[in-house]
Amino acid sequence: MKCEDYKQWLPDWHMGRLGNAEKEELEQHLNSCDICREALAATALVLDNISGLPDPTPSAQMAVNFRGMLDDFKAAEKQPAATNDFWSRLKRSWASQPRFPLAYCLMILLIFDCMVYWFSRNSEQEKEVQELHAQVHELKQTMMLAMLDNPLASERLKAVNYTGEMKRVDHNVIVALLATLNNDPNDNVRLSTLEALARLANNPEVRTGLIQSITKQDSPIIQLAIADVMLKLQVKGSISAFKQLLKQKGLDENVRDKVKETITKLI
Amino acid sequence: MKVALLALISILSCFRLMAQDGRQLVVHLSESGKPFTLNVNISRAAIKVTGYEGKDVVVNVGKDESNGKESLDVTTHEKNNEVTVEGPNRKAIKLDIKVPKTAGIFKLSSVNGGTIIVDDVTGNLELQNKSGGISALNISGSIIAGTLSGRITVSFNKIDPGVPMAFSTISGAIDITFPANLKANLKIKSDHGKVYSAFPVTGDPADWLYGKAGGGGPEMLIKITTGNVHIYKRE
Repeated sequence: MKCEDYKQWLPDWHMGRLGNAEKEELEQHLNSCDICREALAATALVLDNISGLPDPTPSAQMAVNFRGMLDDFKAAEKQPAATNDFWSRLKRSWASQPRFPLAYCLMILLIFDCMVYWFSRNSEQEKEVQELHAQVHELKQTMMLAMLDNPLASERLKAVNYTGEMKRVDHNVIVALLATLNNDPNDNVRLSTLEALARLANNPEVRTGLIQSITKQDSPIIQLAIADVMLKLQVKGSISAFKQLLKQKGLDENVRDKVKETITKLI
Repeated sequence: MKVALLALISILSCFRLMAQDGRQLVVHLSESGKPFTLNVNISRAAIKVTGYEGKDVVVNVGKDESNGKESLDVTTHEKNNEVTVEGPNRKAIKLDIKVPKTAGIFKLSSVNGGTIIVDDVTGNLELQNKSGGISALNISGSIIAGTLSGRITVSFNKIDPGVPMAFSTISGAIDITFPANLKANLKIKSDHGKVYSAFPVTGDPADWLYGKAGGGGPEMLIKITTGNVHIYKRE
């Protein structure tokens, strides 16, 4: 063992609290080590002086101070305990809750705002797209109507074929197509127009126009084709117009036969 | 000024030629080399138009078959590259017209003068007959051809992409030779006849047959009442 270790035993040796084996060992070491003997003397001096000190007695004021302090503490503790009933708990819960709901509210508001923004933006875009569609449609119509007046039959044919691509065909287009069917100088353009109008035959205006056109046609090829269309669509309203057509002088024999057959099939 | 001068020359040359023999009318185009228009609407004319390597429109008027004399009552006039040939309405005449191979618009119409024949021209053709056939061979461009009684025979070297066409007759036949690379929506109907097409078509044979050649394109309307339809591919 080193001197440092023996030094830790010194206070206990001085107060007689060391075990016999340690006591003997320490005493042997003390006989041989001057440093440790000096340390023992110093320790003994300190210990003897401490034990010689008198115990301090509490002053009379101290008890009063302590009581005052205790009362203050009790009073402070009494207040929270008194608010522990149902209403106050409710109040407290009410008061302590908002932090989270407030966050939720803010979040919902934020999401709602985003949605409003998103939808309004979407509807704006949709509106723009719709407007664009309408403009394209209008443009196509204008172009188509202009093309129907073109001196070239192929351009007029192109215009008629455009109507097949149109999703909706309004009054102006129907009027123009019916005018073409009745007045175009080229048989093939009229034939193509008849086919285009037959596709639109769900429209009552088109049906009426087609029936009215029966007696206006002078080309046998259109007369035959119009009989086919009426037969296919089963337009019984066309019978009287066909009967009138039969009265026309110089009617082509093929047409006469076809019209008679059509009338029979429609009745 | 230049245009007016050319027009004057062309008119004078017409008169000169008419005065000479009444058989050939040479019409100078005021803008030679540019697209021109040829209008012929004579009810009893047998019209033949052929493309040639020249700059003028040359109208050869055949002899009047009833008396063997020259048909002097055929006239031509030209304005802004638009040539119109006019003739008698009741007399049968023969017109053999040579046109430049530059693109043109051909509006040829007859009632019962015979077959309308066009060969080796480029452009937009409107051919209308009533009692007589139509033959348009080696055409580069587009055709709208219609007759009431007669055969329609058409062959293309090349077609104008995106231009719809139509062919119709009541009785006769329709034979069309398209380039193999045709892109078109075919719409064909023969009321009392058969349809043979080198381009696939489907549908009810009693109604319209439809086909998308080369993935589809402008509409080609082909309609005959009595007779067959043949659609060939030019390889």
